[in-house]
Amino acid sequence: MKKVLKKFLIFFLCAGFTAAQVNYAKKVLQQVIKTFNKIQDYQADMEIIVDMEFIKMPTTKAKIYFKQPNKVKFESKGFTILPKQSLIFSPLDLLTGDFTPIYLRKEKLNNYNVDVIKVIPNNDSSDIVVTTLWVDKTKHIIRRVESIGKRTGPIFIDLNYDNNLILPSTVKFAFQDSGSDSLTEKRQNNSPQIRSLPKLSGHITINYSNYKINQGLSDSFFIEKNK
Amino acid sequence: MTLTLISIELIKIFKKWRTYIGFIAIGILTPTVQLALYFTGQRYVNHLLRGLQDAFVFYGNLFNGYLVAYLILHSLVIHIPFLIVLVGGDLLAGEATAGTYRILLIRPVSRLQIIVAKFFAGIIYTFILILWLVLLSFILSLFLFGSGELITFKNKLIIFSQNDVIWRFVCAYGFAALSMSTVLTLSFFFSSMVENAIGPIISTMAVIIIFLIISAIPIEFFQTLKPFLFTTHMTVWENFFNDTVDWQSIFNSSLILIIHIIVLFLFTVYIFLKKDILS
Repeated sequence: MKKVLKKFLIFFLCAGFTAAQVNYAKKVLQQVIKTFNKIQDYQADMEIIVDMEFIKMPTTKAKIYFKQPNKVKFESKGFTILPKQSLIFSPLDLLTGDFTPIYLRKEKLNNYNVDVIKVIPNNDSSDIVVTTLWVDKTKHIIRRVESIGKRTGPIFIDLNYDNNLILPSTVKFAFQDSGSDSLTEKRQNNSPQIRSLPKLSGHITINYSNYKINQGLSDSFFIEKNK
Repeated sequence: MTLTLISIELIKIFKKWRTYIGFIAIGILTPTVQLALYFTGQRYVNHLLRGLQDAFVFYGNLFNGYLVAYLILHSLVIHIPFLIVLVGGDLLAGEATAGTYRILLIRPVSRLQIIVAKFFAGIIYTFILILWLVLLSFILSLFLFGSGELITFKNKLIIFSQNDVIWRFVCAYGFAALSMSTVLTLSFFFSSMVENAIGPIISTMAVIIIFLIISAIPIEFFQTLKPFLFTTHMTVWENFFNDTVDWQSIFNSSLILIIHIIVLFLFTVYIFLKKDILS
C-alpha cells in the first residue's frame, strides 16, 4: 500500500512540476509577444550575406516592410535567397498554432540571462519537429533559436540587437546538413547522372539597418505588392 | 597591298552560297533554342534550385537573357566548327576546283601574300560568324528576356551579379573565336593539300571527332596526349564562368591554340609555296 501511495505521490509531483514548467514557459512567451506588439510597423534595409556550401553568390541588398499582424513587403533589385525562417517577422508567427512550450532551464548566453524554452508542435502537420528558444529575461526578446525541421537539418539562428532596439540588427542562420531522412532519401533515389541534392550547410547573415518603426505604413502599401 | 588582297578574298568568300550556311544555321538554331527556353526555361532554373525550396525562398528572376545566352553558347560552340570548316576547307581547294589557281598566281603578288590574305580573310569570316552568334544569342536574348543575375552550376550553384557577367561573356566569346580560328587553320591546312573542298571539310571534322574520342577514353596513354590536343582547350571558355577564374589555365590553353594556329599556318605556307600548280 505504501509503495502504491509513493508511486502516486511521485506521479502527481512530476505532473505538477511539468504543468508548472509549461505555465512558466507560456508566461515567458507571452511577454515576448507583448514586447513585440509595441511595434505596429517597421521598415528596414537588409544586407544578405550567403556563405553556403552549395551556393556561391554575391552579397545582396533588399528592403523589408512589416505591419502587424502579418503584412509583409519585400523589395530587392536583384536575386535574393532567404532562409524560410527569416520570413518569421513576428514572434506571433513562431508561437501561433497548437504547440506545447516547456521551460528547460535558465542560462547565460553571451552575458545575457536567458530562459531556454522548448516548443513542441502538438500535431504532425507542422514542418518543425522541435524549436528551442533562448529568451532574454530582461528585454523579453529572442536571442537564439534552434529549429529542427522535418525536411531540413538543424538550423541555428542567432539574433543580435543594437541598444534599445527590440528588432534585431543582425540575424545569423547556421545550417547543418545532418543528412535528414528526407534529404538522404532524395539523394539516394536520384540516378548518378542527376546531380546530388545540395548539402545545406553554411551560414546566411542578414544585417538590418535604417529601421523606421511605427511610421504608420498604410494597408494599401502592402496591397500594391500583390497586384 | 595585303589589305586589298584580304578585301578581295573576303568578297570572294561572301559571294559564295556556302558562306551563308553558317549564318543561316545559327540564325535558325538560336531563335529556336530561345523559343524553347521561353516556354521551358523557368523549369530549368527550378531544376537547378530543386531541393532548396524546403529551406529557402527565392526573390528575383534568374531566368533572363544572360542564362539563355550561356545555354546557347554551351550547346552551339561544339557544333560551330562544322560551320567554320565549310569556308576554311574551300579557301585554297576552292581555287583548284574552280580552276582559278593559275590565274590567281599570275597576278603581280607573291604566293606568300596570297596565302596570308586568304588566311586572314578566313579568320575575319570566323570572327564575323562569332559576332553573329553574339548578336543572336547574347544581344537578342537580353532584348527578349531582359537582364539579371546569371546562374550556373559547377559542383555548386554559382550566381553572378549583373555587373560581373558581361566581361565573362566578352572573354568567353573571345576565347570561342580563338578556338574556332584553330579549326579554321586546320581546315585551311588540309585545303592546301587537295583540289576539292570536300576533303578538307571531312578531314577537319574527322580530326576533331578522333581527338574528342581519344580525350574521352580513360587510357593512360591517351590521357597523356590529351593536354596537347587542341580539342581539349576548345572548351576552356567555360572557365570564365567559374567562381574563381583560373587565368593560368586559360593562358596555357590560349598559348596551345595559338601555337596550333602558327604551326599549321606555317605548314600551309610551306605546302602552298612548294605546290606545283597544275590547274
